[in-house]
Amino acid sequence: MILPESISGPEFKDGDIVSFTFEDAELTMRLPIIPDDPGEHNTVSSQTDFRNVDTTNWSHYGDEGNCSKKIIVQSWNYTDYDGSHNRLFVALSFLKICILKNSQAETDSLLNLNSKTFTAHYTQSLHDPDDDEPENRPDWPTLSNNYFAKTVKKEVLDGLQAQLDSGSCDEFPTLMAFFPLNKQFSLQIAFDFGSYHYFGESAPKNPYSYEFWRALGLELFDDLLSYVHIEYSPEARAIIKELAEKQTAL
Amino acid sequence: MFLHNSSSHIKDIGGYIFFSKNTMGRSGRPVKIHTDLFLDFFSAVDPASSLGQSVIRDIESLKIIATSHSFPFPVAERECRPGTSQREIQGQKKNLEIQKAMSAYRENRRERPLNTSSVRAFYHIHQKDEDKCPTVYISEIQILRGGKKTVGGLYEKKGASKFTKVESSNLEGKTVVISGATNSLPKARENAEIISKQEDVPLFYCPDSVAEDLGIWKKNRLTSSTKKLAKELEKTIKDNQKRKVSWIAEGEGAALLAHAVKAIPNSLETHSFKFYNARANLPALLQDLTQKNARLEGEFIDYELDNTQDRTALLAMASHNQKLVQVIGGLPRVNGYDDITRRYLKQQIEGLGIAKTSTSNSVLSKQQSLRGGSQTFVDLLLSSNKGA
Repeated sequence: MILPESISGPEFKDGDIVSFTFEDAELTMRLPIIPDDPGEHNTVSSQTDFRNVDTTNWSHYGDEGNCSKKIIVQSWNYTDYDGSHNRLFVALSFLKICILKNSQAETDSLLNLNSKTFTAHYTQSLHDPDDDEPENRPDWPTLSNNYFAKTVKKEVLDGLQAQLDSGSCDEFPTLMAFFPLNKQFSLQIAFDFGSYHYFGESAPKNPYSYEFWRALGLELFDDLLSYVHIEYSPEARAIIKELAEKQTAL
Repeated sequence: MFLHNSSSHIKDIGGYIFFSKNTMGRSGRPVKIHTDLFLDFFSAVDPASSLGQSVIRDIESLKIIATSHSFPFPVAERECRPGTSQREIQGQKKNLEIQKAMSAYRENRRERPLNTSSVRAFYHIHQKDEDKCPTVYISEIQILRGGKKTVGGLYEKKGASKFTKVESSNLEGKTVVISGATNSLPKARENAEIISKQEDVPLFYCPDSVAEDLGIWKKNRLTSSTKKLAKELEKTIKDNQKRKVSWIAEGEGAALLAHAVKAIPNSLETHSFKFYNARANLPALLQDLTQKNARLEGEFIDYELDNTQDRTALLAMASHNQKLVQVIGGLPRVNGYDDITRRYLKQQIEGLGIAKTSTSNSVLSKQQSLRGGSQTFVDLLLSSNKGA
């Protein structure tokens, strides 16, 4: 995608290619090149090989043995140039990418190695019965609209894309995506994008509408996901094929 | 007669120096800036960062922008009625030229804003006696602060992927980070995880708007939103007053804590406090906490963030250096390891006093030394930045 002419900031198409290795899978994606500005984050895990990885020190959650590990944290801004030499921040992004480890039962069920079971599992994980249903906000992700969950088509195994009310009273939802890496690990991408507003009555105003930023955030996220590529081993492909055939036969 | 049009912000008209080597008039209009703006500029603009460089470039572009302003001339030329004498025509032409010159002068002296991403500069054009040509004068700098419209307050992890604002919470046995002024919640959360070395640590989030109210050189005149946030922090502490809580206050979060702690009655003996790149009057806060028997253990003051020194925090430290060492010296006695780390902390701060405070103090006094010197504003910014 191409940013509107007057807006400038990092773009995924110009990004660095990074790779991570897992048992039965090689993950490749593009990360934007971030200016080294104070207060911004730009951390990429120095560990790139996760074969036989020790997960003792990962962040554990729930009581069934799930845990996660951050591998990428980046934040950056977009600026707008009004043609009269005024340059302003207009939007900001925060990208966090984690590896999620399944519980033993989830691993044994091979749910990650089938597009349908994988997307169903992660759609279910988004459901929160305590979620408020805001009135007159048809664009807001809720249980009723299934958090705008949709499949991200990939060559071998599909991923899942959704939007989430992060609970932070933010006017923009967090854009989320999940991809299966192998029977044990999944990739979770969380992208917080939204408009930048200066404080104070006399401060410059953001020149674009909320709808504009919502649409641009989704476009940027689609762009980011289009560069996620997972190469599965022949052994994994064989199991994936077998599971798909079994499902078709049912 | 045009004085009412001159800048109202800077009274001292002698304190202007060239902004940078690129704006000394060799190309475009010269651009000058008042030395009183140095401290604000130093705190807001890091010339080593790409953001800082773009702010400097944008301000330098005034030399071009300011030549391209077109000025409206409200006085229209009128045709002379028949029979007007040559003398009257000459007189009218002269009057017209004077009015045009006055109009241009007024327009030049009108103050205009230039918005850069983090700083708004107000400038006017004037030719003083010592100026070779009309010069751009920057007489006011406003630090622009902003971010997402997320409200401040206490946030905690809920479920697998939510981080939710809570009105009250049982913080027994927990570490809580009070964030510095940050322009988005995910960024503050990430900082909190780095500082506390804990994933999903509870966070009292301070949006970037509080930075304006809690600046280290500003009088404490809190806006209603910052007052409300300080009240929320006060309530959170009161709700957990009898519980064991470890607090880490980062940046302006320490200044917010200072406001909240003042209103806490009785003891905070089960609460421990640490400070990270604190942008606050730390000696006064430590005294308040000590009076309430709060625990200040180990190396409770830290000034590193990703190996990058926080310059504003360092200046806050420099301006209270001796007092800070005194206050730490006067804290209740501790034994064993804590005594050793406290001595180490004092040495560190005293060390900072020698190695860093000399630089920081020179930054604090720089606005005076700037005057009459041959260096430009950006030169001094760069040299101060290297020192800090």
